[in-house]
Amino acid sequence: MAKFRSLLVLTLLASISTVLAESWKVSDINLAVISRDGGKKDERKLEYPHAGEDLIADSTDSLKFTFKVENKERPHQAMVLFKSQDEFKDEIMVAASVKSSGKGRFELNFAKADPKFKYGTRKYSMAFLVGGSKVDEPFKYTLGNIEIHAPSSNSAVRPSGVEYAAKPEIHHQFRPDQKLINTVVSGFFTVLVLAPFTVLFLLWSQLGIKFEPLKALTQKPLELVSALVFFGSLAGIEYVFYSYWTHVTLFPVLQYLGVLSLVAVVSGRSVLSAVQARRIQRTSGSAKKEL
Amino acid sequence: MSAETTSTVARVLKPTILILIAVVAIASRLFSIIRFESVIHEFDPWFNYRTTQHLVKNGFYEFWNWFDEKSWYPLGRVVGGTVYPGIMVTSALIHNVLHFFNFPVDIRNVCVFLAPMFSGLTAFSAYLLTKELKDSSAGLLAAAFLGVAPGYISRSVAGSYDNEGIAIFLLVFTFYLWIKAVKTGSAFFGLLTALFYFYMVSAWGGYVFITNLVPLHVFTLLLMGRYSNRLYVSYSTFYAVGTLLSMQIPFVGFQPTRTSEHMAALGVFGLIQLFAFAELVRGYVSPKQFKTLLRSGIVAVGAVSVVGLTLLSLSGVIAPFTGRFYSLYDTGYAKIHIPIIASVSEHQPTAWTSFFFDLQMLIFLFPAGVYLCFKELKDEHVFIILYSVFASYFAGVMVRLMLTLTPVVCVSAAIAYSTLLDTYLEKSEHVLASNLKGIQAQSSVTDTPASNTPATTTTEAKAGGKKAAGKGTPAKTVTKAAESESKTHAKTHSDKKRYPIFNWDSRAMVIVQLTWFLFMFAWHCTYVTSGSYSSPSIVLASRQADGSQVIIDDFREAYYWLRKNTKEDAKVLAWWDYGYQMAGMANVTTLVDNNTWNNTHIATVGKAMATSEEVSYEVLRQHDVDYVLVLFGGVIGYSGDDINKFLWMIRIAEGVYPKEVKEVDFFTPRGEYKVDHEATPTMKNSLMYKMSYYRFAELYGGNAVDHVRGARMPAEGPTLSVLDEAYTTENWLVRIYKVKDLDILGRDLKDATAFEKGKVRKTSLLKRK
Amino acid sequence: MEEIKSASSSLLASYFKDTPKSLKLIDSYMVYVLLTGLIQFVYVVIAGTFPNNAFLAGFISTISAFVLAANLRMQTNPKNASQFPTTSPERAFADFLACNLVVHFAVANFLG
Repeated sequence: MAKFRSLLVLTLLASISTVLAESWKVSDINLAVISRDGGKKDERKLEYPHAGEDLIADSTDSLKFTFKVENKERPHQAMVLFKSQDEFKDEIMVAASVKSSGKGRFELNFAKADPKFKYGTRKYSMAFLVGGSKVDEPFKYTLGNIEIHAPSSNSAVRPSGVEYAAKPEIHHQFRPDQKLINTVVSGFFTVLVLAPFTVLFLLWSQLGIKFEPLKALTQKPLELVSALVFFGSLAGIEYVFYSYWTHVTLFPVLQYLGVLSLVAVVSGRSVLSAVQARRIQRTSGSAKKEL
Repeated sequence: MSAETTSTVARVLKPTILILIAVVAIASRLFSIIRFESVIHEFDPWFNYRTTQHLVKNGFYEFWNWFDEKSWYPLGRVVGGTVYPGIMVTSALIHNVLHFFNFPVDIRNVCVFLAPMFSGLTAFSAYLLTKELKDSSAGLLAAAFLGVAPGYISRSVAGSYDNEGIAIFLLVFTFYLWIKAVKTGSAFFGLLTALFYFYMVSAWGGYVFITNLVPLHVFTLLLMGRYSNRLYVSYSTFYAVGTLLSMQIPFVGFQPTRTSEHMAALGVFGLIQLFAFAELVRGYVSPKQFKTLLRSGIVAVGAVSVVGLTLLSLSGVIAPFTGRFYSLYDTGYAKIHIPIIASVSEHQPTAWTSFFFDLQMLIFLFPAGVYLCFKELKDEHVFIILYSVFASYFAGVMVRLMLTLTPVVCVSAAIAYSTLLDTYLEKSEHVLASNLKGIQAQSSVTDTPASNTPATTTTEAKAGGKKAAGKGTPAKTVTKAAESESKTHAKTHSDKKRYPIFNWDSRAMVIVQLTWFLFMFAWHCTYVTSGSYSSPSIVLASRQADGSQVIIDDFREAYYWLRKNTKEDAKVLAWWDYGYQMAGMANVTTLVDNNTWNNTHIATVGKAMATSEEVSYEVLRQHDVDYVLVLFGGVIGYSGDDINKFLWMIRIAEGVYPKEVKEVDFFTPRGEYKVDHEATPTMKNSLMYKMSYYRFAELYGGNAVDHVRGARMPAEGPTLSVLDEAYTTENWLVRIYKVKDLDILGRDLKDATAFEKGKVRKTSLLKRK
Repeated sequence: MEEIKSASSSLLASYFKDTPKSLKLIDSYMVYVLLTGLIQFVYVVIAGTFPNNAFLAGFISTISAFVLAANLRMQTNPKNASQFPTTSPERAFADFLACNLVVHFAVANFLG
C-alpha cells in the first residue's frame, strides 16, 4: 500500500507539472445513496470541476456511482478514493469497472465494504481518479463529502494508532553464556587433578625400579642415540599436539606429525627390537627349561 | 606339480585375480557414463558435489565453517556441522594429490568415478574378510561376488556420488579389521579398527550399524562364556579410541554419550571391564573364595548401576530413542508418526522379489554359508552369524539397507560355494583331511591342552624365523610336521566327519552345475546393472517404436533456464526432492531440500502447494518466493511427478497445519484420488493441481489425457491468478511459474486477473438483483 | 561377610606375592589414572559439564589411558603369553604408545 501511495503522489505531481495534448473527458457523473430496500435516498448530478454538496448515508445503505468516459481510450484505472475527515486520515480505495462503451459504475454496500467504513460516524472526502496507459495526464476530480452514520449500538472501534507505521525494531537475542564455576573451585581442582602424580611417583619409588636398560644403553652409543631420537620424537609429537590445541591449524600439524611419526616409527623399531633381543637372551635359558 | 610351484603360481595368480576383479567391478559400474556423459546422475548427490566444489575452491576451514544461505531460505544451513564430510574430504584429497602430481583432473570427474574406484577396494576388503573366515580361495570368490552384486552396484554406479559409495568399503574393511583384532588380540588392530570406524563415522550415518553390531558380537561371546583377554584388548581399544574419535565429527558431536543408539556399546564396554577384573581376581585366589567375591561384587555393581541409570534417565541426560531408529524396528511407526520418513521410497519395506533381483544365486547360498559358520563357530563366525541375522532383518525393513546386507551375503555365499568346490574338487581324502586339520590346528591355538604343544612350537619357530630374516623355511617345516601328525589321525577323522566324493561323474555333475550358476550370476548381474541401475535420473531415456533412443533432458533444460534467466538471489520454491539439484545445477536459493531437518518448513511448502491460491499466495509472499517449480509427467508419462507425490505433501502439511490442509478433502466421496472432472473442489483449487494442469488442455485442443494417471482431463483447464507461467520445458516435465507482484491498485490478484480478462466484477449486490 | 574379608585379604596377599614388578609398575600407573578420573568426575558433579567438550576430552582421555594400560598389562603378563601368540611385550608397548598418541591427538582436537 505504501508503494501504491507514493506512486499516486508521483502521478499527481506529474499531472500538475506536465501539460499534454490529450486529457480525460468524463461526463454523466452521478452519485446516489440507495437504502437497503432499493429506494433512492439522495442523489447528486455532478459536473467537473465543481464539487457537490455533502451526502449523508446510513451504514446499511449503499452508494451507487456512475460515469461515462468520452475518450476512445478505455481507462486502465478508474476509482474513487475515500479519505476520512478526522485525525486518522484513513484511505479507502474503491475501483470501478468500465465497459467498452465507456460507461463505468460501482455500487458500494457499506455494510459489506471495507471495515474502515464502520469505525463510527465519520465524514469522508471523495476523489475520483481515472488513468490509463496512453493518456498521460490522469483525471482527478474532488466529488465532495459523504457522511456515513454508524448504527448507535454496534459500531466497531477504530484501533488507535497510525495505520502504516514502522514496527518496533527486532533485536537479536543471543543465548546467554553459560556460567562458569568460580575460579577458586576450578583452581583448587586443577591442583587436585595434578595431585595423583605424587601418588604415582610414591608408588613407583616404593616398587624400587631399577633402570637396567638404561645402564645397558650407555654401553652401546648407537642404541643410546636411537633411544634418544625415539623419545625425542615422542616428545615432539606431544608438543605438536599442544601447539595444535593452542594456535596452529590442522594442515601444518599434519605435516609435522607425518615427519615426526616417521622418525618415531623407525627409531622405535630399532630401540624396541634391541630391548627384545636382550629379553630373549635373558629368558632363553629359562624358556629352554620349560620346553 | 610340486607343492612349491603350486604356491608360487598361487602367489602370482591371487593378486592378478584380485586386480581383475577390481577392474570388472569398476567397469561394470560405467554403463551410465558410457551411455550418457560424465555427470552426477542422481538427485541427492548434487549436494555432495556442490559442497565438494566448495571445499576444493575455498579450502578446508572455509568448508568447515560454511554457512549456506542459499538453502532453507530464510533459515540457512550450517553445512559444516550438519554433514558427513567423509566423501567430500576424500574426493578433495584425491583431487589435490592428482594435482600435486600434475594430473589436471577436474573435480567433477573425481566425484563421478569415486564410487566405482571404491568398489574395487570393497572387493579387496571382502577378500580379506573372507580369508579370515575360511581361506583365500573363498576370499577370492567373495571379492568376485561383491564386485558385481547388483545390491551394491545399485548405490555405487559412476555418477552416483553418494555417501554409501565409500561407506560400504569402510564397513567391510572395519569389520575385517575388527575380526583381525579379535583373532590376534592386538591393540594395534584395535586401533586400526577405531581409525577406520572414525572414517566410517565421517562418511555415513550407517555407522550406527557398526556401533551396535560390534558390541553385540562381544556381548554374545561373553554370554557364550568365551571371554578372553584378546577380546578385552580389541574391544576396549576399539571402543575407547573409536568413541573419542567419532565425537570429532561435528554432526555426531556428543551423541555417543547421550543417545540410546550408542548406549549398547557403552554398556558392553562396562561389562567387559568387569569381566576382565573378575578374570584378574580369579588368577589370584582359590575358586571358593572367588565365588564369594564374585557374588558380593555382582550385588554391589548391580545396585550401583540400577541407581545410576534411573538417576540419569530421570534427569534427562540420556535422550530417548529418535524416530528414525524406531522406524527400523517397527515398520508401522514411521507411517503413523513421521510422514516425512515414510514418504521416501527408500524407507519402504523391501519386496521379497528384490532380494532375488539384487542378489540372485547368492540369496540361496547365503543360508548355507551361515550354516557352515555355525559348524565352525569360532569367534569370527559368531560375528558373521550376528551380522547376517541383523542385516537380513534390517534389509527387510528398509529397501536402502539392502546395501548393508549385500556384503555379508557375498561373504557367506562365498564360504558355501568354496566349501562345495573344496568337497568336489579335492583329489584325495588324505589331502582333504590334512588340509582341514591344518587349518584347525593353525587357527585354534589354545583350545585344548593337547593341541598346545604344536601350537607353541609354531610361535617359537616364527619368532625365531623373524630374527633370522628367513621367514619361510622354519615355519614350513612346522606345518609339514603338523601335516604328518595329522595324517596319522586322518583316517579316523575323515571316517567320522567327511565322506569325500571319488566318482568323477558325480563330481563333474556338481561342478558343471556350479559353473553354470556362476555364468548365470554374472549374466544376471550385468543385465540388472545395465538395465535398472545405470539409468540416471536427471536424464531420462526412452525407446521409440522403431528402437531409436530418445533422450529426455528436461531437468537440465529447466535448471539451465533458471540459472541464466533469474536474478542471482532468486528464491525458488519446489518440493524438497529437487532442492539439492536446484542448488547445484541452477544456483538458486531454495526453501527446502533433501536434508530434511526442519519438518515445519517442509510442511509450509506443502501447505503452499496444497491450499488455494489466496492462501498459498500469502505463504509465497511471506517467504519472498520468486518462482515456483513443479514436475509434471502427464505429457510423457513420467510417474515420479509432483501430482503423484502430492499426497505426501498433503500429509506432511496436515501434520503441522491440520486446520488448513485436510487429506480427506482431496479424496472423492468414493475414496479415490482423482485428477479429472471427478476431482474434488479442494483438489481443483490447490496450487499444485493448477500449476500442473495449467494450459494442459490447450495442448491437446481440449482433449487432454494425463498419461501417468490415465485420466481424461476436463476441456477447460484451471486458471491461475497469482502466478505467471515463466517456463515449461520441451516435454512439459518441469514447469516454472513466476510469483506475481502485488497488484498495483491494491486489488486482489484474482480480481485483477478477472479485470484483465475483461470480466465484470460481480459484487454481491448485483447478484441479488 | 567374614568370608569376603578373608577372601579379599588373601587376594591382596597373593597379589603382592605373585605379581612381577613390571606389572606392578603398570598397576600403579592405572591407580594414578583412576584417581585422576575420579577427581574429574567429582569436579563435574560439583561444577556441571558446561564446557562439555573439555570435560569429555579430559574424562575420556583418562578412560582410554586406563584401558590402554590394562591392555598393556594383559599383553605383557607372562601368564597370558599363550593367549597372545603374535604379540611380544615390546610390540605391546609399541601399540600402547601408538594408541596413546592417537588418543592425545583426538583430545587436543576436542579441547577446541
